[in-house]
Amino acid sequence: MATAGEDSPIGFGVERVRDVAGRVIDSPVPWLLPTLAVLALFQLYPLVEAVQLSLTNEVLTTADTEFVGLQNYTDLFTSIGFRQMVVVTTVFAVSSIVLHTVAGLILALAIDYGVRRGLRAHLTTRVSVLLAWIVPGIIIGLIWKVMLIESQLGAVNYLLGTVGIGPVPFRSDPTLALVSTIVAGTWRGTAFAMIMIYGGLQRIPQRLYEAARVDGAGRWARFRHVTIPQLKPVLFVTLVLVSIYALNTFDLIFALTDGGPGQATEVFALFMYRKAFTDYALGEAAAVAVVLLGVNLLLTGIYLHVFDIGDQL
Amino acid sequence: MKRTNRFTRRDILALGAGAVAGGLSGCAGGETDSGSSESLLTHDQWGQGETGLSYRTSDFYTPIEAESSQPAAAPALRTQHEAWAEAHPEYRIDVEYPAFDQWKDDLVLDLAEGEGPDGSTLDSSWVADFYEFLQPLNDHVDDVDDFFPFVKNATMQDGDLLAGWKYTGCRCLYYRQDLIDRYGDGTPPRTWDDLVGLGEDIADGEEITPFMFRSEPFDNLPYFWGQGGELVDDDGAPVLGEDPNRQAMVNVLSFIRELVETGVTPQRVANVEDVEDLPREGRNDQLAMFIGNNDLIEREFKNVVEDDSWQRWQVAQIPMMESDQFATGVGGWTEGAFIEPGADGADAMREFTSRFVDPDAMARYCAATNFLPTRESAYDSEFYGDDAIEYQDTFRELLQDGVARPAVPIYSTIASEYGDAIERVVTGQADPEAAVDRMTAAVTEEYDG
Repeated sequence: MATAGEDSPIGFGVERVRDVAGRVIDSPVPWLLPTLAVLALFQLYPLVEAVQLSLTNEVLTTADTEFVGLQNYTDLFTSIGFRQMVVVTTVFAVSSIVLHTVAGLILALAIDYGVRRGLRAHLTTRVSVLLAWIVPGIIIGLIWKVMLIESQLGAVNYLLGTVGIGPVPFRSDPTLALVSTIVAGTWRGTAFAMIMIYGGLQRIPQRLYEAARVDGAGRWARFRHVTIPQLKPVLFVTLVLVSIYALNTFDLIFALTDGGPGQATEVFALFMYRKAFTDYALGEAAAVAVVLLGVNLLLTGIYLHVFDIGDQL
Repeated sequence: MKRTNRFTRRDILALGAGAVAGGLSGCAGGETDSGSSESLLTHDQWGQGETGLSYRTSDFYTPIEAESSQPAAAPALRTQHEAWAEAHPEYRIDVEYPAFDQWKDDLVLDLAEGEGPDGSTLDSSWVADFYEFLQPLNDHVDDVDDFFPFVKNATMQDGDLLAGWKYTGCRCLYYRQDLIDRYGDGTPPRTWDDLVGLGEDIADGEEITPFMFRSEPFDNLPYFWGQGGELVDDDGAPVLGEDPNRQAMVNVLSFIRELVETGVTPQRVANVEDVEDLPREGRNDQLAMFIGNNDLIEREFKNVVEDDSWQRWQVAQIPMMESDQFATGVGGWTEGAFIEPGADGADAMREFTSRFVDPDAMARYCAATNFLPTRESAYDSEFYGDDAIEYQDTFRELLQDGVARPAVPIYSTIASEYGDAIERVVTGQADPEAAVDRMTAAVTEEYDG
């Protein structure tokens, strides 16, 4: 039997509001709305703006801006240094991705082993490695630049000199300059991969290792059939983020070699920076940014396919 | 009650002391107010007028010694700005000091959006990027022909003087006189052949690098200009691919390649960037000759070395392909006015700007800073003494053949590509012909694009 209050218009209205509020609260929309709004404002809008900009000839020093279609992309793909830039960027990015991930995996396994065995100094090791990651890339570049000075004033050449080697042209030889940027980038970026993979290792249930041991699996077999499959989702995310980092690296290279000698270490990200802030050619710089975005998305798609973990994400 | 209304002796003494103190402080305050030198110029405001004129510069150029990155220049600037403030009591300059890294970018952006300052200090290499915003100074600058030719080439458009080039510096050959005496005939190398020959002798006889330069394009453009090479035509279009310009550039890069192949210059010059690097090696007896700016003799030798050993270092014309060729690269800073003609304060701003290139003001500033004046009459000023800078006669002679960066937008691309070409040749990535062809193609592509 309904009460008088429930039959009244006010009671009915309150009940309806309560229903609507309940449905709204149960719905994911209001909870996602702030995030979506932030993403739209700070991610989607700049992205659309960059694409739009890449279709114009906007240059900061002139007032006239016109729609030029795909001209900036055509200019980029047919520019004189494009082929060399593709090679340099590919070598830098692939080397960085492989080295960051492998070195990060090795370090994470070593620290995990240390923690499980109760060894000392694992925290110090983690902090030491992470310190390199905390320091901005431009500072890392300057530190390595000083270390690699091509005379006895450089720390590395000084040490090599004590055993009769050098001075080694770390920054003036085209090949060594590229190797130097990769090593410096790896020195910095390994920490990120390490911390991600170390987190993934903590999620692996010990009973899986115990079961594998019972089945007679050795260390390598346990690593191959337990650790790696369990780490797949983490490795996927790590690879995606490391790839983005490697493809977008410009600060470290800017400080260490400034793209030289010649254009021996000029990657797309550095080229984009120069276009935007040296030539003020915002349209052309935006075209490079959009191409980099496309490459990043392509790599992510490849990783998704190779790792086959769509259902786990 | 009655007693509380009465003044005691202590109250009277206190009142008296207060009155004396107040009077003294009043006198002191009055003195401060009338001290025009203190109040007329502050770090952020020059002049006391009602109408403010916005102006961007570096703390290098503040007239307030305590705030200046170049305190020696402050008195000269104070004299100059006080004279302006007294001549324009209705105006004041509101000074901003932008971060150097963002200065040009922000200025370009602000002017493009119509929100730029009324005036600004500009690097001489920036001037071309601001042609469309700069207002002529002709009405306020006497005898424009008094400036060295490179000044007129860079700052004048259609007869309008668009910027006041307030000081300059030039590139020259620094050499160790004792080594030249030992391995040569006592005179510095005048030609490339002289330089290579002398360098090889020094390399054979000493544990020292004979000759170095930075791959910075401007340090190496005199070789090209000395042959009569031109980077752009009268319309500002690049002409590097046309002979004799192309051949001149091939000659330069071949010379640089020869320097490396003969061991006169090490490959590591490809990444020598800082201007201090070469004089530092010179001071440490690791280098016999190098190309550098004129101010290094004071800044990196005379003022750094405690004894007289800096005098071993002499300066000379940059060696050229032939002995009858001469050229040096010149730089420096300028002042420009952006305020539209007819606007309130436009004349005052342009007059303020033009004072930087007044011969006496320029002489005072350059004498205090060891920079070089950009107009002949400033050298004859009573304020520019014989001891203003070491080797000033040589530098003044070099300035006769001074060549500024071409004041065209494409120059930044040319410079960048030239630097890359030098590095490619030095490191063996390309032969001189291929490096020039690639450089030319890249410049043309940028210009046509």
